[in-house]
Amino acid sequence: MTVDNLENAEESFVNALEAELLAVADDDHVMGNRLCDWTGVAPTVEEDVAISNVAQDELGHAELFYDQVAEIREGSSQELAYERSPEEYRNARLLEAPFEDWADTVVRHYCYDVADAVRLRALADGEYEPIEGVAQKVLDEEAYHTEHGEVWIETLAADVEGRERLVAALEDAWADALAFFEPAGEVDPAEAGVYGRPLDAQREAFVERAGSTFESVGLSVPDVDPAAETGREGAHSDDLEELLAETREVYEQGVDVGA
Amino acid sequence: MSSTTINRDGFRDRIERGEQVEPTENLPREYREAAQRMIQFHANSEIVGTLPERRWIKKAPSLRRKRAISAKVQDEAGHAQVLYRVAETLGLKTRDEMIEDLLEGDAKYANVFNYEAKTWADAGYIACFIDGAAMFRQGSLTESSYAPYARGLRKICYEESFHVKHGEDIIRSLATGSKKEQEMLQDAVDRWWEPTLQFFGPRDDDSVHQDELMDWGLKVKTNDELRQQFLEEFYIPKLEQYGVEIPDDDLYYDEEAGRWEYSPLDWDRFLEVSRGGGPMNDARMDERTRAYEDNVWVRRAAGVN
Repeated sequence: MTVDNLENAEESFVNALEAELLAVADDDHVMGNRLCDWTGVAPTVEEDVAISNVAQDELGHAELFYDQVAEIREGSSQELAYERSPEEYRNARLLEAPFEDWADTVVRHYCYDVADAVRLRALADGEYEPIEGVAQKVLDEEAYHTEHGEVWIETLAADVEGRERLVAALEDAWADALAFFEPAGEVDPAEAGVYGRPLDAQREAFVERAGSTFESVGLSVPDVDPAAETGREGAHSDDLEELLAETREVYEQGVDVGA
Repeated sequence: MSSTTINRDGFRDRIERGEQVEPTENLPREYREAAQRMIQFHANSEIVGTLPERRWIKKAPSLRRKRAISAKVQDEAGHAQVLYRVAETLGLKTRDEMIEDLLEGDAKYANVFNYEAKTWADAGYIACFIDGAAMFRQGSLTESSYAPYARGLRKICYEESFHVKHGEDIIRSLATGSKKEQEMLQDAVDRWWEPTLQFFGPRDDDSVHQDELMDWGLKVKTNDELRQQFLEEFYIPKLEQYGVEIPDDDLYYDEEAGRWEYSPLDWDRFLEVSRGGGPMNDARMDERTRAYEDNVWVRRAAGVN
């Protein structure tokens, strides 16, 4: 079955779709903003340029998906990005904290890229036809990010200190990375038809892909369960609240908000 | 140094004919050193220039503005990359040595970045008017006698033109916005007027290196010429267009002399800031030093500097 027009779609489908698209957009929004922390202070000038590029891509993806949500809900992508409380955000907790160091950045962003690619593929294979083109466009850009991450993992793993830092970052991030694949809405989105692949199977695909990258440099991923608290149901850290407060500072002053 | 001693192989004559020279040629030591100082200053200015604006990226009040300001600050880092590479072609210093010079306080960068970007209007102002000023300066330098520098600047000027558009868009939005937005813009102009005019460097009579740089064709327009050109072709017309009050009651256009006259700028203050006494000198160097030192291990792992 395919859905090409939401007006004729079942309410449960629309609700599940909206919740998942919002989670995608929030993920990109939070990740994009976090990556901006490196602009101007990255490890090398070359990396400064590269990481800023990636940040802009993620922010662009956020806008694409907020636009999709705004078509379902009354509202604008601007309101979605700037006017929701932290509890209303559905991003993964993996993305919230300020980066500890470059290894933490590489690990968390790489996990995000792989997880996002698995999810977008499942979204493109779901029942909602109009999202396929959007998902494909984003997937094409993400391929470059994933490659960028793999090069850094290989590079850092070949250095004694780099390797230690990678291991520490992986220990910290992995349970949250696994919790990426939790439903953002009330119903199971794959059963509702939003995804062409169940969340558990998406998680397995993620573990296989990301895990094999880490294993290829001799690192094993922690044997842990997905984190119990997930951002998908609105359970966030203070880091998200601080980040969002920062992004809203000028907006809330009503300065230059019309752009 | 007399011109006879450095007219080896007719080098001086070629420069005077407006020829551009390549690093593979037999360039006089004095020429290389003058070029090194100038280009290193420029590269440092780009890398330090990312710092005042970077904190405004996350605060940008719309997703569109956020991508634009991120791209703008990213470009500055990219310009630093290009310019350090150009400087390295002179064969005198590696990039790592230049960055160490900067962090140890042995090399200067544009004074204007030692002032604080306090508001979103400042972020717009810098993109429009500081980058606008930089375009006049750099535009003239595309005629510089050092060919790699001239080539690098053509790319850089092209990108700066997008920054100016982004900045002017913010300026326009504030100028046509609420009273509060207009006041924020006016406040930015009030604070940045003097540092902006001083961006072009000391007055011609006071400039230590200018004559040498002009002699070598490394610079083609003087500080005062560029300052006038910027005032006449960009700064004053834009401020007038957006209804901003110019913070100098004595400003007037001298028809006879064909130039803008303005109240004397505080050049003692300029020197003080240049020697480390500006409001943000320490903060800028602390931030750059931290970025450099915290990531020593990354560069070692990657085998780069």
